[in-house]
Amino acid sequence: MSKSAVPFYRRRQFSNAVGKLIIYTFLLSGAFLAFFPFAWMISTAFKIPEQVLALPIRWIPDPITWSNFAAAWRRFDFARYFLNTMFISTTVTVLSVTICSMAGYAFAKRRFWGRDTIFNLLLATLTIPGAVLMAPLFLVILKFGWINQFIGIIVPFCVSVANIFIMRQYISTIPTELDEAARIDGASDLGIWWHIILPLSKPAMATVAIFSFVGAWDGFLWPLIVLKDKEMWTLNVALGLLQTEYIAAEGSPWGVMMAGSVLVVLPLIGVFLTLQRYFMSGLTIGAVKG
Amino acid sequence: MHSSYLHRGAHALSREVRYNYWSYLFVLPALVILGMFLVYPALYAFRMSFYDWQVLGESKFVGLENYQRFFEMPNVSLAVQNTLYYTALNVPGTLFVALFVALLLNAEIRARAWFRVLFYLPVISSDVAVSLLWKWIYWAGERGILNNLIGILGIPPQDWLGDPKLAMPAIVLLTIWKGIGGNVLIFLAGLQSIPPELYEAATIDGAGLWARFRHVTWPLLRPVTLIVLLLLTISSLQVFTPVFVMTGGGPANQTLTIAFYIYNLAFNNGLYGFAAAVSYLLFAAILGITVIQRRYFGDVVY
Repeated sequence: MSKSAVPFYRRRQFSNAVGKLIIYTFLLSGAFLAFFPFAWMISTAFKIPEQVLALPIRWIPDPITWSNFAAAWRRFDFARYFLNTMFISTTVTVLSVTICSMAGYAFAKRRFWGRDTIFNLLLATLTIPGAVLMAPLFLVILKFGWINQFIGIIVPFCVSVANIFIMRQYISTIPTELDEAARIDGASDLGIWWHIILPLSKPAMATVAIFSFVGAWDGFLWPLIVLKDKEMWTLNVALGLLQTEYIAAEGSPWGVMMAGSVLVVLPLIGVFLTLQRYFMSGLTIGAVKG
Repeated sequence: MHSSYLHRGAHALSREVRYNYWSYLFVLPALVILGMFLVYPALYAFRMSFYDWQVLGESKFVGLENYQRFFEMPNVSLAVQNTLYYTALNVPGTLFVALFVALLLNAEIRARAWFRVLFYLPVISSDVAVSLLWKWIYWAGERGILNNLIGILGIPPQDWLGDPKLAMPAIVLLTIWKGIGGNVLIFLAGLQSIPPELYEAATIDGAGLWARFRHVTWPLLRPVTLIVLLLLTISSLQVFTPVFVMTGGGPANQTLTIAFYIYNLAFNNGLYGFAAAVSYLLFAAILGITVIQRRYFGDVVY
């Protein structure tokens, strides 16, 4: 249990090799368990229908088929849902990074009346559970006439206090001399934010971008509530609602369903792997004050 | 007197705004959106909870009736029990596995970044997609992959999501799998802030592995552990998507959770006022937990 509580490189006499072997054994089995469901998803997605439920279970499909992806793409109206989801997630991400970095900059670097009070009030809203918003926020969105429109999914969810917090924490580590020097050189307030703060806060921006994109892409409850028409659905809503239909109709459409799942998860993993270097350092600063 | 004070305050504020308007412009978009779509609806829900709320027709004030109903409706207590059961399994499960993985990753090892990424993959994967995937893993009969695997060990196939006793633990297993990665990162950050000198001193004093964990790591990690505990508890009390996708609240309502119940009340039965009342009781519970946590375990370190 506590094997690793001690940095092994400090334990001079003890046999490092045995300890390391134990650690790697645990880590590799953990990594295997973390990845195993994905492997099953990918394996199923490439199987022909007759083999999906065949015994004994085959991990490597033979033949390997792309027909599930083609079927998901056509029958699922996948292209439309993909574009809907991409549009919503990208817009949310751009708005979120812009708005949260502006607010984070003001809270970190500028002195203005009410700053700390406002910031503490924002932190207090973190205790509001999402479930409380279900009925009333739906009615607000209804009042705005945003039911069945993308804007009803974008605007209410493009700002989060957690993301403002991450930006503020990161920006406050940027030396104040930099923006003061720029001010003396005649830079405008907007110019300082754009030319000094933004380029220096890339890790925090990447973190906020990942959180926003993943959050919007993963969103299920609100798209389910707001987007009523089939043409407006996101991938998740389509996947979540059509699955029961398909299971009832065909018994086991799992090849197609897993192909759909692969297509839903793939862009997320792509975004994550592209930005993860920044993300890890940005997250650490947001998570724990060192 | 009072009005002149207000007047002076307003004057100072207007001067402040005039000299410092960029600061306000920078925070304004965030405040407007959070105000309209977070704070206002949260307060609005409180008002709704005292009404028989109608979307189109006239809403009727009913006083505490919605709250009374909470204690009378048979499914409510079931939803509360199920949610507590879920929380009691999910929180310690995720916390201890995440801590264990973080301790392993904190050792001097190769490819740490790769392991971190691998453990984080379930976190960023879509809830709906992985719920569907696990529904498939739990497929009943010997053709399901999990049943096939336990068959190797000689355990007969189970109807994981169809058995009232197994359905909730099955959902918990999915959410632990999905929740580990994020908490590992928080724990890792905490572990890396513990000064190595402490371990050296403990080693010189003859402390073994367990003693060092027990007397150095665990106490110094406490603030981080408490954040993880709090965040996990709050999110567990609101579990929705896996239930919606995997069981729809069944079998025999054994996976009906509070969030799923509120969703049904509002959007399938049109009982918006009652839904608001239930959600406020949940809010109260979460606030209570936060306050207790703060009072007895010290401040949250953000």
